[in-house]
Amino acid sequence: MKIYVKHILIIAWKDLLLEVRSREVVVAVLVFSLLSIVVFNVAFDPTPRTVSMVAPGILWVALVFGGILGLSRTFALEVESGGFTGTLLSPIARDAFFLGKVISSFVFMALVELILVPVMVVLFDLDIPVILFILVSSLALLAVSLVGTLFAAMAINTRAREILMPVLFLPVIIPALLASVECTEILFSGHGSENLGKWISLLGVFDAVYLIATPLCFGLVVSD
Amino acid sequence: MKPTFRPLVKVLGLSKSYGRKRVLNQLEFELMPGSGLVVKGSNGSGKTTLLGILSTISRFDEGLIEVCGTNTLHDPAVVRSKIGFVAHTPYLYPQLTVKENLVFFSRLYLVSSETLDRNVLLADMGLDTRLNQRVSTLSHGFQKRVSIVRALLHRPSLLLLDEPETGLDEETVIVLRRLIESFLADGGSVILTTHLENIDYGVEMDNLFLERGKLIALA
Repeated sequence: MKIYVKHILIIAWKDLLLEVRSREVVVAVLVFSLLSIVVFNVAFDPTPRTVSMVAPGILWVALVFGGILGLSRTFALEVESGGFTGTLLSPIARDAFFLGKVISSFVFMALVELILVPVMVVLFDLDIPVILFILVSSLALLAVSLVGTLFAAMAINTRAREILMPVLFLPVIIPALLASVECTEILFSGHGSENLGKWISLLGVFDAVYLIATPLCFGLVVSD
Repeated sequence: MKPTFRPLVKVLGLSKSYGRKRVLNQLEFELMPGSGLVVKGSNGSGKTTLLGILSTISRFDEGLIEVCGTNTLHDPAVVRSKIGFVAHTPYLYPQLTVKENLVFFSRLYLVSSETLDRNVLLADMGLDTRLNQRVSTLSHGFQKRVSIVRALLHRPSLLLLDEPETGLDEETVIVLRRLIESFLADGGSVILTTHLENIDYGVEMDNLFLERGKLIALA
């Protein structure tokens, strides 16, 4: 068990170190997500009455599509450099490799959100209950990281990887995306808090199911 | 009573297809500890596929493979802990330094940093003065040397080398041959592939000839 956890952490350490060196993933995702928010802001032109309905969708769509970009890029870098195969040749369990990558993806997405949310708070003049929002965000980003990492690994060795990744990822993430948007709308508006527990539970169950399923699938995906 | 020696590698009835194309067809051979095997064949004969299967990163359709007495299907992680792999691609992280790559891989193989620091191969390979250089700034030959050190960090029992001489300068080829010689002398076993007919690695090794995935000769 100790070795298993060590392996997970070493993979996450390596990804974070690579990102500090290259700054490819976080910067790309952040720029894309910020631009998306600005575009949505212009397209919807939310009023004070509609902002709490529109802003949650804008935030999570920007993060999900940014996540697709970032996760695809993370795997592309690994495979192109050959380091991915070098790691697979080691005694690391495939699910430990997968969970290490999920942790690093989660950290990247969390860093992006740490910048996006204050921008949205300023743009849309929002008032957010911080602790609950952190809980919802953590569950939602975990969902994106789990599903996104698996499908990025699946898509990477195909010719149409840029199209395949979103085509696989988006239908599967819809329940988590819906729950995230509903939770965030309740937190932004302050109304409907009696339903908050239901949507958080949905996110929790989604995460629990995919936390079991995705590591198991990863081993099959990366074998030739 | 005579002692019996178990083969380090045992391959029985190995077959693999990619779609309808059979790339390995009922391949069988054994490799004893301390011996070497050169797998020869033209491009597409199944050499790289064979090494991929032995290293457990590729699956196979039929057959039985044991490495160091461990079935590769039952315990692939244990098998990988006993194997070192050197391919023509270095399989390193180019944005990390030589030391960072070796620290990363040594932790995967559960080799301590102290052992890494004492690793004499680093000096033998001319890497002790290049530890803080990013791998992307090294020549192909030096990147290959890093991958050789990486393959030997955990003192494997079996060394798999996929066309190791490809793209190497003469100096690195000499280093590689010396390495194979000393690895075999220390009781390890080597399987290497080549598409070159008359290559000499300086030690006596068996030759296995593959053609379209089938074993046509073992000498």
